[in-house]
Amino acid sequence: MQQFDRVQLALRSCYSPVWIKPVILAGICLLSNTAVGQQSQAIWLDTISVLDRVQPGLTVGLATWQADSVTLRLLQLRSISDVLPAILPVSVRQYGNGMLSTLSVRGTGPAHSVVNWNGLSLGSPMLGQQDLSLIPGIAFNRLSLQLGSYNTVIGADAISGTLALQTIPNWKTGLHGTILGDWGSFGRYAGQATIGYGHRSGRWSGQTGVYRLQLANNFPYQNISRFGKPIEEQTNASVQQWAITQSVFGQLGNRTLLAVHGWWQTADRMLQPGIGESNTGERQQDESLRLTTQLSGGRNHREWLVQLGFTQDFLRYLNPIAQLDEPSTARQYLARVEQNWSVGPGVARSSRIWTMRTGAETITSTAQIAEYQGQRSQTRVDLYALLTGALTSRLTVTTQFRQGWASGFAPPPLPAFGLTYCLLNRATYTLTSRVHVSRTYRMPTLNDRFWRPGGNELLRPESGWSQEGGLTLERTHQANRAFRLQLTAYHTLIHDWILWLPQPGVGYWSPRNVQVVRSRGLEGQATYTVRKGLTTWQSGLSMAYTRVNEVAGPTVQDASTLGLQLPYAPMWIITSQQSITHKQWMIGGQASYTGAQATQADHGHSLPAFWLVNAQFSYRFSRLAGFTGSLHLNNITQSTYQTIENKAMPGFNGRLQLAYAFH
Amino acid sequence: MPFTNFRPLRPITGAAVACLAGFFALQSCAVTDAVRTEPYDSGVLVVEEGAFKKGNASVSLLNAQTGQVTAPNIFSAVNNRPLGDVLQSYIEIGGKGYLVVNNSDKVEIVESSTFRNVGTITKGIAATQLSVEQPRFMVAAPPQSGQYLKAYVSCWGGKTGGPNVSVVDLAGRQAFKQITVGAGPEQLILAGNQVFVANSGGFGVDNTVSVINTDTDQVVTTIAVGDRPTALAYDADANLIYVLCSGKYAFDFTTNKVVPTTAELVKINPTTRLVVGRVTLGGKPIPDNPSNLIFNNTTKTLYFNYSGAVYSTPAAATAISLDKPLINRSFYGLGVDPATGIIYGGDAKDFNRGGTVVRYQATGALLDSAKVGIAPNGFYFK
Repeated sequence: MQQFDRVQLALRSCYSPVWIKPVILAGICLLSNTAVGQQSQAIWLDTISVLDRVQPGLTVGLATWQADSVTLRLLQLRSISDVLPAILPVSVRQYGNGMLSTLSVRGTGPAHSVVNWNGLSLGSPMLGQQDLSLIPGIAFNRLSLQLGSYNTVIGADAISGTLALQTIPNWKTGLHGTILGDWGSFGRYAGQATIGYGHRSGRWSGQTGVYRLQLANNFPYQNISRFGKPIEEQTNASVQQWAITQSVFGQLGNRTLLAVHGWWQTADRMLQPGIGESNTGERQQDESLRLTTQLSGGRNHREWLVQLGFTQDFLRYLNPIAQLDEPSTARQYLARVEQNWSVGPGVARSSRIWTMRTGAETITSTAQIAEYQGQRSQTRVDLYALLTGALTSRLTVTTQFRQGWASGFAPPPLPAFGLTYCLLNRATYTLTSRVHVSRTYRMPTLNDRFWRPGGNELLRPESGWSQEGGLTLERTHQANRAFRLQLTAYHTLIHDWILWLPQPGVGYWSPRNVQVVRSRGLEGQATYTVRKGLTTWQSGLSMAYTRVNEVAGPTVQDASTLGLQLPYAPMWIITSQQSITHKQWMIGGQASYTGAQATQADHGHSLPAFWLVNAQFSYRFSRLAGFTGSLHLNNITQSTYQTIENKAMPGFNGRLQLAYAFH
Repeated sequence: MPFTNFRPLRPITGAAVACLAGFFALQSCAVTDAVRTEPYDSGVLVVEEGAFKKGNASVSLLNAQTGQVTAPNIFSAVNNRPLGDVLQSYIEIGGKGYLVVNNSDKVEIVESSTFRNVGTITKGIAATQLSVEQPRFMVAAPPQSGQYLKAYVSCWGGKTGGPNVSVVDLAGRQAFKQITVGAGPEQLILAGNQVFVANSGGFGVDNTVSVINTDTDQVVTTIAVGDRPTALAYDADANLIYVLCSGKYAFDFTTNKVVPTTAELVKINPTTRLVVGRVTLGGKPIPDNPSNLIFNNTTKTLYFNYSGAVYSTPAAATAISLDKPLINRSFYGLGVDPATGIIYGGDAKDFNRGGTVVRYQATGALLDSAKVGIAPNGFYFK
């Protein structure tokens, strides 16, 4: 078994490339779930690495954050917009509870990060961003955040971060699954069922999920904008969601893996008005369909991947006051082929393996909305080559290049270079350094280009250079203890930053390439796990210090705001997670601190800093096999906070959850 | 505690002393009322609309001599709470200031000299109470034996009712009647015992002015004017009402083309309620919509915004040229100090940062500028 050879190597020292370890560890976990020794099941382990968009071979020089089992459990019956702010040093801008929530990494905007689901970019091609509150935990079983510029691997827009959501197979024979239901504050009812099945042959497996959320969202808040500052009930904020997911994995022949993923999602939300804002009965209906098929395979250090993908996002915005009923439909078609070569003296000395990945992909986006006056589309074709390998036993390097061609604008050539170097390799710990330099870019969205009035077809893509470096300290060779500390410093300069500005004399707004924005900062993350008998303690601490501001460039709108932190970019974000599992009991808690953030470019007004503290208690019933009950308490300190000006967020709230698992 | 001990006061002691001092200060104010100078007695109030749906409307006070900000964001500073979403206009009636907060469906009432909040005109809890829905502008009815009893608020409506002028009981601080007018009622103006309302058409196009009798609170007549009347001015000496008809939207969103439109200055005799004059701006259809009609009663000059510039014209002119602007700068809000004739322009920039108030001599010569709150859309000269 190749995997076990690699495990042995990995455990022996850091003389094997550091990046191999997590893959192997993942491999061990997966193997331990299956009947070890079934030859056929080893095959996909090779090919799955071809599918993985954040696999260590690609991220040399960058820091990756991987969700652990505790985090994934938090995501049950919740959307990632609810959970991410408590566990990751990123900012999620929430336009109210359960409302539009966008991801901001390293102080940049939602369009500077991508959400990638099984190789498909979820962001709407119209807006260039994805609503995180419409991503329930059921849609994936592996979540990782790739920090930093990742354009060479993912393509456009991955300037600051890539949130990768992936579904990995479970080959366990027979039926297994979980059914969960919960009941919570403010009229919340949610339920989900996931069923997995594996064929006796071990060649086929599938996963089906259904999710439903109903939230009245009538939480109390203080209407500070009203005379007497009364406590009022939030109105016009109810949420309804449905999601169905389906994945099928099949081993066709000995060396070919088929993976098919489908995800249908619908949401109907009343849009929460701001504090003091008249309730105009705004409403938004979303319906999304995502389909992708991946076929991969190979032998003798040659692997290939073919992927086809389709996404369709229907969004309807209703505003009875302005008599608006605006439906829009956006579609994306993706085709990708990749070839992966591994060159090296052999598996036994895998530390010297070089891998070369070359690929081509094409993405066509089309969208239709009244303001486009018909259907508009944009096609992009990218070619890329990624070369990774160990130069010496301590030094692993990657050289990557991507060039895109697009209709309507010219993507820049994207080189990237990364390395990791093992500084210290002691009996109990290793210290590794990493460096990454890359060109990065974001393309103008369809709205930027085609919205009438104002759309600007002459926009250039935003582009710039990103540099980062860091250290990773890892304790090794301890069976019951794991410690990992990651520190990163980064610097990114983005030119031609796109802003919509009012155009004098014409009465409408139009996007322009105006700003040069610099994002600099420090990130730190520490995780510690210890097992003693039947008790496990998992602990994590992460922090981000971000300075992001406009710097002098060819066109400066307002010199007085140069150097000021951009709006909605907190300088400090600190999160901490703790969980203790003992026999049937689990107690978990998360505390996060978000620093003050300006709401205007000139810092005329700021949202105050806030703390959020959540806790969970769960008990696995010993007499009722398969049943687990849990209590989730959120915002325990009754913190009054906003992440978007005047959008109220709920105070202390809770939910009771009952889960039944069978296998 | 010996008096020689100069330890700093502990916070709690400090607070107690401050409270006590405040108490005596208030007492003394009551006694020496005559010499008290209120902070916001005089100056220029800047109506800062705020960004739409952000709830960050504000009001700043400028010094009319220096043009500099004497007190920023005074509503929040005095009342320790935000004002609301989209401050459309401000007016003072009988010692009270009325802040018409458009997208909060309310009119906040303050003491005009202190800006202390004394109440709100909004929909109450009782189902029978009327709301001021999407209010825009406000004007008082003539006083009865020196007392202002009621006022009129133009409301676009939309949720519970159609476009209307709400009649407000100033003592009871609530609307008691809604008078149906044309769509998108904008500015209103009082002439004698009649209120003239510019029916702009809202999101569409209207071309009428409604006339309300303040004794009966009923529409007496509806006068046909040019397309989309948005702003009004009253010249009591000439007994004329000037109506700025902005014309149909010059930018056609469906064809993405500029369609030249006819914009007019229509003159109405309020006594006969007849149109007595019409002047087409620029003399022909023009590619943008003029807005913000301001009247200087001393010099009998009208000012308006057009296509990124400020223009002026004698009110009596029979032709209005658009060849040469008075000030070549785009403003969101416009005002003229009736005492000095100084022109105030409010630059809203990108609505994502504070705006600027720029002042000019009546000749158009630049005076000075000051940084204010978001989207300055109008001025009130105290």
